[in-house]
Amino acid sequence: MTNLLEVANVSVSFKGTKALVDVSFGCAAGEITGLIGPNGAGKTTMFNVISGLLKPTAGSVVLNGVDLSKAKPARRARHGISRTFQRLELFTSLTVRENLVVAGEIRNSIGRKDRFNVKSEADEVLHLLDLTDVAEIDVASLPTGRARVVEVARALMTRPKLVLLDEPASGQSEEETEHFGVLLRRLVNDRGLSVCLVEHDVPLVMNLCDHIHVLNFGSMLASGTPMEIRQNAAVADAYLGSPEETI
Amino acid sequence: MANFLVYLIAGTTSGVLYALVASGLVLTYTTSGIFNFAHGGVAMLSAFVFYQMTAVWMWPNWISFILVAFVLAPLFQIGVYRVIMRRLTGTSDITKIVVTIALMLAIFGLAAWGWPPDTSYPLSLFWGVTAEWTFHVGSHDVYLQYFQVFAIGVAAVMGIGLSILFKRTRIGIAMRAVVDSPDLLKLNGGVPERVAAISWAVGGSMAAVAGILIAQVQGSVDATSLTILLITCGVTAAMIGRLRSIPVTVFGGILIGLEIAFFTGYASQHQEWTSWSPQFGVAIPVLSLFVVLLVLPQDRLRGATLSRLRERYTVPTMKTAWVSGLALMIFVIGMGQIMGISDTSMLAAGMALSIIALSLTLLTGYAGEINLAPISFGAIGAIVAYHHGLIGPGFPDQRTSLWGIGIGIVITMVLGGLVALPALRLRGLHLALGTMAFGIFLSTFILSFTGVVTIPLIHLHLAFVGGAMTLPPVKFLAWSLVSPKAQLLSSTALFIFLGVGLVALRRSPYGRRLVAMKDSPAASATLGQSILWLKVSAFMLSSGLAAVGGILYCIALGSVQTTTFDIFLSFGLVMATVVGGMGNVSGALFGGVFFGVGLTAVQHTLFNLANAHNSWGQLFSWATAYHLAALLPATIGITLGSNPSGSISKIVEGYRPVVEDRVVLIGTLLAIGVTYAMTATHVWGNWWFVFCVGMIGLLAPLAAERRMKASTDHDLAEPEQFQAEMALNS
Ligand SMILES: Nc1ncnc2c1ncn2[C@@H]1O[C@H](COP(=O)(O)OP(=O)(O)O)[C@@H](O)[C@H]1O
Ligand SMILES: [Mg+2]
Repeated sequence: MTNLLEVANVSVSFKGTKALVDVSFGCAAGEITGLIGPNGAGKTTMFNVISGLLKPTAGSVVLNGVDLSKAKPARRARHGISRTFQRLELFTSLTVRENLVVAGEIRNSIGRKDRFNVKSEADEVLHLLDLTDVAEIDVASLPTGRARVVEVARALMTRPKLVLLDEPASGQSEEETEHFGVLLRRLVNDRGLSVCLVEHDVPLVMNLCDHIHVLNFGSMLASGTPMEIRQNAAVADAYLGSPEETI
Repeated sequence: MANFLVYLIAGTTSGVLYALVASGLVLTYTTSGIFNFAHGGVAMLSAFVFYQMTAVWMWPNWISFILVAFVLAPLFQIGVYRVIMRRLTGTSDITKIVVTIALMLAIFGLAAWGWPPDTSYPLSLFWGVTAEWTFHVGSHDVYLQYFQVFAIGVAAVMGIGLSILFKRTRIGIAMRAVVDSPDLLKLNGGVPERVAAISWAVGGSMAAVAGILIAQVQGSVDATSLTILLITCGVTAAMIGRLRSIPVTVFGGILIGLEIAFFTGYASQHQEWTSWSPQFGVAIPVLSLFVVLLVLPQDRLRGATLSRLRERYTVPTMKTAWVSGLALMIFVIGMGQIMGISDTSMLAAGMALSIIALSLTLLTGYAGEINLAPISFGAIGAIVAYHHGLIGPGFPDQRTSLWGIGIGIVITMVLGGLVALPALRLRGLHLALGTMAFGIFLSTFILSFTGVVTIPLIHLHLAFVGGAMTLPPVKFLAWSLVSPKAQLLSSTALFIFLGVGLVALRRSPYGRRLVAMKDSPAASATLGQSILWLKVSAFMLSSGLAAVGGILYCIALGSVQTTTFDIFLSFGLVMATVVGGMGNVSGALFGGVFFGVGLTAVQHTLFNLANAHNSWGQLFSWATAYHLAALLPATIGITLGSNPSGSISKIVEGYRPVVEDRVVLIGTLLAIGVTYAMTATHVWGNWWFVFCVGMIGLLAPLAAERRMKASTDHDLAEPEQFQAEMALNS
């Protein structure tokens, strides 16, 4: 089976420091793929490369058989890549609903034939993610946990094939996180969405993901099913040498 | 060969001085993140102070030089940093830019107060022009002035001093760390304030040395030309160094010095160039700046630079927009009844400036980009309309046709797109610099051609025939809008129409996209938005608005000269609009009217009141009042750091109690009605009306607040009662 997203041999360096070294991995269609690793491992950098915000020194990004390595972020979005940001990038002058609406409008405008009704789509997504009660509130006044959910909602408004989620659960309470996991699984099963998930909440990642890739100091340390990762000694070492209980 | 050597020496001398100015800019920019537009102003002020010490107080040259360059200028800069710049953390680029521009305008005001621009302030070279060594090259003599050696020497010593400071001292190493990798330092929690303060002091010294020496090369201290020369050359050299590398900046400065010397030198040998060559000093760095902007690689897409900017704007509903428009119309009609011809013209011009300021609401308030030369874009519209859109038999029956306005708008939009395209690929600051360069280029170079200049292929005429231009009134369908009152009312109606249109635009899908792009370019792009074209479209639309305003402005003024389009006037308008609040149409109204009318009104009021009451004459010295009033807007602009969303929203907040308190509201309206009646029946003059309305405006919110306090004091008693009841119930 070929992957929906195929990232091959990506390297990135910032003025001497190597953030990513020859990293390859894939995300299968209809699955939740986890990308984990300690702080500074290069996960966000990888998302920046995939979404086109950062030019890698080497490597390629292929979505659905289309080579997007040279494409600008906007073109990648049109091919179906959508993302959220670890450091929130919401449109702070707009309300929650307007954040969703503008995303839908941007998605709809590019000479597309498969347009949808932005208003009803926004209502649907707001309802789906339990945001209806804050829909008319300025997004700048939301607490971080809620704001992260808005980022996810906004990313869904482009009807993407693949969503990159950068630490969506940080700032959310345990209950909210659990709820979020259930929701994400439902999205994948019902809508055929594929997800690449960066997350520090280990139980969430272990329960949710079909495949997991572990980055450490910019290199791919291990890949496999949650079970395989749980039993991988190198991974346990990377997480501060701590035994299984952290994983 | 001999000429070559002469140009080489002269070019290197000015080049190292430009390099000094530019390095100071880069140093302060990298350590504090603030691009100091007032840098050239500090250099200019230093030159004036040096003039005062040497030419008026007859102090020795060297004492004055050291005192100004190494004591006063650094102290001034430290004060500026501590009092003003330090407070700008957490504000947008635009606020930072505008605050330094306000500082520059304040420096200008001070300089004009101390050294009125109608006199000249000659300054000769150290050791004089004839103190020189002579060399024989072939059959020619080549002179090397002591001054030139001194200038190059001082610059070299300062350069070496700076590198020793960087390499050997702890503070210098900290500074270098910032200059080398600002990102890294930001990750570690920002620049220590002491490092930033010291870099501002060092930058001040560099500016002062350059200012004093360049003024000597020019032969006199002239505020405008000195500052413009320093800004253009300094900014261009700093951009060659990409606002990062000081060595490359130094190279850039010397390069520009040489370019100017060689172009001016060789051009002076050709008859057909001689009329242009004096302008080369400004035109060459500006053109170089455009080249630099063109070749710079596209900037990486940024996220929101700060997670939460301090600026906030609320969007009015369409109903509020229309009601406010109606209120404005009623107010202006009322004013039109009591104002004389000249005041009416002045208000009409202010309204036209407000329309130009609307272009900033769209571009800056909505799209987050800045144009520092809005009046220059307005000028293009007016000039095109003048050359291509007049109908009728000639003065005084000539009219500006709607077709002329239309073509003026279209050409300005196209030109705006062309000028902005290279800079729009880069950061907001670069667009600010690019538009500033365009404005300077227009006012000092293009408009200095007094003959007709025809752009080939499209047969477009530009330029000021005879150094001035009189744009006749508009013919709208069957009506000619000749009288000042007709112009005022039509401009106001147009402002309301365009302003309500902008509110509608902000509420439209296009407006949402602009705001989204402003808030986070990175998020916009990853949703599929093509950022560059969205920016270009916003810039073109806003140029179109500026063109409409520019045409009406020229018509309201009657006759306009090159000085009408001075870059400093654009700066003033931008500043006033930011003070009013960039994100709202009301800010544009405030900006235009305050800048075009308010200032003059305040000054006239003080002046006339002083004249009307002789006993006050001593109290209000005309000159003092005038200069204080001139400094007023700059002072307000400087305080933006503490209130970055502009003052209108704050003022509106202040009036909320007035509107809510029936008694005070009715009282206020009655008082204004009485003053209006007194004025309309000529019991007293217009200036008293302005004064009284101003006083009522100040007192009403105070009264409302007092009454509110009194009533809340009363209310405070209630909760206790409430608690008592609760206790009883439980
Ligand atoms: N813009 C940048 N400039 C310099 N270094 C960076 C930049 N972005 C990330 N890095 C560095 O790259 C490494 C990987 O960072 P990142 O991808 O954010 O890690 P993660 O998301 O896994 O925590 C870190 O060492 C970080 O300091
Ligand atoms: Mg990260």
